[in-house]
Amino acid sequence: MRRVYAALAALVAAILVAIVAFFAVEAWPAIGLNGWHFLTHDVWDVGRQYGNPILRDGRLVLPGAHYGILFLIVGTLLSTAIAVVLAVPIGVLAAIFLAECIPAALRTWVSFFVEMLAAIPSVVFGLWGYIFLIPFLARHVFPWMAAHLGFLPYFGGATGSGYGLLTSGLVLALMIVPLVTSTVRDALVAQPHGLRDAALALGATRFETLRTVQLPGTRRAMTGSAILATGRALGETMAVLMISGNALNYLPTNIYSPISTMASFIVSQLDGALQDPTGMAVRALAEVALVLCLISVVVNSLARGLLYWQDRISSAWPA
Amino acid sequence: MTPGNTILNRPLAAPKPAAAPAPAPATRVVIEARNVDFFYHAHQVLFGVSLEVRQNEILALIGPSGCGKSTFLRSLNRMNDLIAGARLRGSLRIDGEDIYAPGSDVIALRRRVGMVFQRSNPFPFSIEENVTFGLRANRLARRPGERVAVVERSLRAAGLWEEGKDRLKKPALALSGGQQQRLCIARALAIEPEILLMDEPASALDPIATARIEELALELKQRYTLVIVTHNLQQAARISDRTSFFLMGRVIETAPTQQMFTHPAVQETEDYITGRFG
Ligand SMILES: Nc1ncnc2c1ncn2[C@@H]1O[C@H](COP(=O)(O)OP(=O)(O)OP(=O)(O)O)[C@@H](O)[C@H]1O
Ligand SMILES: [Mg+2]
Repeated sequence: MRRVYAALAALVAAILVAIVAFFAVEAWPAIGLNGWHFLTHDVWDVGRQYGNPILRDGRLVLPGAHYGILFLIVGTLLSTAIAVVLAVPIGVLAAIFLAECIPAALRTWVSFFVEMLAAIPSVVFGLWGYIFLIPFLARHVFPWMAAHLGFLPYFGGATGSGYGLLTSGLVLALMIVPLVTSTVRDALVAQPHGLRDAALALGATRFETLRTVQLPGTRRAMTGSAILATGRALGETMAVLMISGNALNYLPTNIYSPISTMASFIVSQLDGALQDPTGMAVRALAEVALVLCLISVVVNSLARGLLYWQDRISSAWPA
Repeated sequence: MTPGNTILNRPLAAPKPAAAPAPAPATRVVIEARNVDFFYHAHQVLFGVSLEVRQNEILALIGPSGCGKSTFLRSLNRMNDLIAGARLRGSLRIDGEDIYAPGSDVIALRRRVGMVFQRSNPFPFSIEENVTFGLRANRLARRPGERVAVVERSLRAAGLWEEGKDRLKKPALALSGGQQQRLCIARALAIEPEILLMDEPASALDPIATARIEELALELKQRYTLVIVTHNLQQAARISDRTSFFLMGRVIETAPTQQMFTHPAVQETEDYITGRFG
């Protein structure tokens, strides 16, 4: 049996390596062509469709072709960051509420709805954002925020049409909250009562017990769910495509600015890229995919490092 | 259960015959339960429990599994409050104060009534942080030097100082099972409770670790009042001053331990301590 497991594990690892290798091979000419500019320039231009392909650095490309995705990297990281920063505290609070504040019978029901939220296809979130959230935010919320919170950096300025960074972050947050909530709730409920009882018996309040004993006991679950949530937000495609404003070659100037993310950009550009007779546009999109994978790996590793570091420090109460 | 109640009342007068009408300080009643009924939802598990615990004595609670010993013990520091549907009726007084009176302070109660659990449950912190947890929760001994002193005093009182003094900053979970249980006792002592409740504190320990806990209980009796639940009748006989026998949610008999083990007043008690059931 152990051998079967080992073989399966090896297979999964091999598939992962194969996929990354495939993209690396596919993207290789584009990587050579673009160099580091790919990451530092914020202009993506597939070139003149009907111009004659020209030879550049030994590769055939359309005249005027230039591939820089800084705006995509920025859009992806910022929308994900907003989503995670909003979703983790909200998700943890919801988990505390579900695990500690309501009777077990009710908990089952409310939890069911939270889990349903996770089961909704992302295109439905996107459509909801498109039809309801965007007009609402653009008309009522963003102008108010710009007027009252404008003193904060990036909160002031033009609030635009409602499509953009903050909207994407909000919808992404909504999509990943259930992930955090159900993981942390399960961890809280599954905790043996011994430590909680010990703290309460020593005269700690419910809140102190939560803060010093129960929540620290779920740190692994919290960080783990945040990692999963980050991965989901980084890769989310459909919903973001519908609400981000699909900014091209544009770096956000405030939190209301339109953006694009790498995942949604691949979808929106694929059709046009296929028209490129030199094939370079598709190779450049493969390079986008490769960068997205790399970012996911880096974020994951950082999070795992955080987990390791967390495990090593004690959760002593500040006196 | 009228026989239970009549017998219950007898030993109260027994230890000091013909003394002055006011009880001497040594036999001051610290805990007084009168007609305590307890329910988990509609399920009644304690029926008219009445008993008293006196200052600086060890009262052992014995009885077959499921008879309500833990439930009674946990109602003394209101740990049952956490269980949905748990309800108590009757009167439970500590130092004359009804601990279930509306508006009575649960936190203050738990500071006065410490608890040691069946399974040792040290926090996943250092030894020192375990001992100071209650101080921090209750904002006691806030000056830096004070806490150090409390740590030493508590570990000494729990017989863990010699083994623990060089590893105060080390994780408590690295201690042995018996040491962990003594750490839990030290942790409870750090906030200077008046009463210590112990629910089968040695049932998960080997005979040597058990003997240490028993010795410790006898020492602690000098300063604290102890209520100990035990399944081990020899243990009850070795350390307790008086024993209450619980059966199916009722107190059948409370008597000085020697007397109960040699001349039980009730047939059920005799059946239990001679091993005919339980
Ligand atoms: N949280 C709970 N919810 C519902 N019923 C409970 C709960 N805890 C205990 N009971 C019931 O109350 C009764 C008394 O339980 P308790 O734990 O007080 O017995 P005990 O004398 O301590 O037993 P043991 O010697 O096995 O520890 C039992 O019938 C038990 O099933
Ligand atoms: Mg019990």
